[in-house]
Amino acid sequence: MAAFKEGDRAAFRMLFDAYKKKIVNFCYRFCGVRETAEDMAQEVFLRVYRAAATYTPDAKFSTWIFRIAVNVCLNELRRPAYRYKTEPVDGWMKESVSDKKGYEPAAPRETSPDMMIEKHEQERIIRESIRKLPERQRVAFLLVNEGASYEEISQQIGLSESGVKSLIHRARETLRETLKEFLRE
Amino acid sequence: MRRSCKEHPYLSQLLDGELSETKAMEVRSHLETCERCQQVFAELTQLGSLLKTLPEIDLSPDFDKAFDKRLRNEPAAPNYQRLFGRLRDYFFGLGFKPRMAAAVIVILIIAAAVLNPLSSEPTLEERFMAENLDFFDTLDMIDQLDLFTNWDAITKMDENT
Repeated sequence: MAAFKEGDRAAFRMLFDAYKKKIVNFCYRFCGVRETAEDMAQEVFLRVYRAAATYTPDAKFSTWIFRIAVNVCLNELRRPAYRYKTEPVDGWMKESVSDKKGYEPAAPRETSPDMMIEKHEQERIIRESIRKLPERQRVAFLLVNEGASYEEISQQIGLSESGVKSLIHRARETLRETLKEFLRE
Repeated sequence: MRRSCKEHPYLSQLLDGELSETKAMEVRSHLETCERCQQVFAELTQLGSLLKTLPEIDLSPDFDKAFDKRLRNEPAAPNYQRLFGRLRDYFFGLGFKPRMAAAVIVILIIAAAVLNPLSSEPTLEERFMAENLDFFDTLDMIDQLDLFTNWDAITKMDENT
């Protein structure tokens, strides 16, 4: 971290490699468009690079970088060019089939076309439900699912801990209602 | 959505491990007896599992390359930023708190304003004195002769002569 603070590009590269997938996925869950998510994630890392000298070691690096990611996500929503759109289901299918980690050829039940369609439809509905949450609820909810504590989230979004509790509680209540068909099976 | 139970709002915090030990025990013992809360808690747990099943997307093959291109256009961080970072680490590393730091800065500004003799411009009177030091030296000498305190006696002497 000291080398990173001093502007060492190799140290920055290590952090970039360690966090890039997490940040892209965080942005993707927030905005729902892969291309935009990658662009936002790059913006996050550029801001990290620019602000390296101002990083204080008393803050956890993950808390710090997610705080930047939250700002980038919220700014993205405020851009006039922002288009709220989601990727089509067939796009998801191509993506998942080509995803070697998620694809299990040994399990025929999972690979039957009907099951695949059902699974992708479920994923689409879950992602869509998350994206429909009000922006601060969505951020707080995504962060808590990343394993952040309420205290960290309160620092990341600039809200009191009781405010964070309320956001997460309300987000879960909404999702419990919208996703009830998957919860009571 | 039914919210009949007062413990309902705590279930989410219990799931995240954000309740104090005492409160967590209280909510857990409530869960043993309240069927409605048991159902809600089970759904919240299921919701968490459901989200974990969402596959993560892989990065585009040219993600690193595209980022490197953007990074190449970034200038290195200016030296003053690094210096500022080091100074801040130094002071805050010693346990300084923002309020204390602000108080120190205010005291230093007041002290500088009060103690610095060059802090204010000379007045018109001070300038006049400086430009006419010779005259004031002479005036001082005359003053020491006590001419004015004995002015009446001196004028009478003039009249008599």
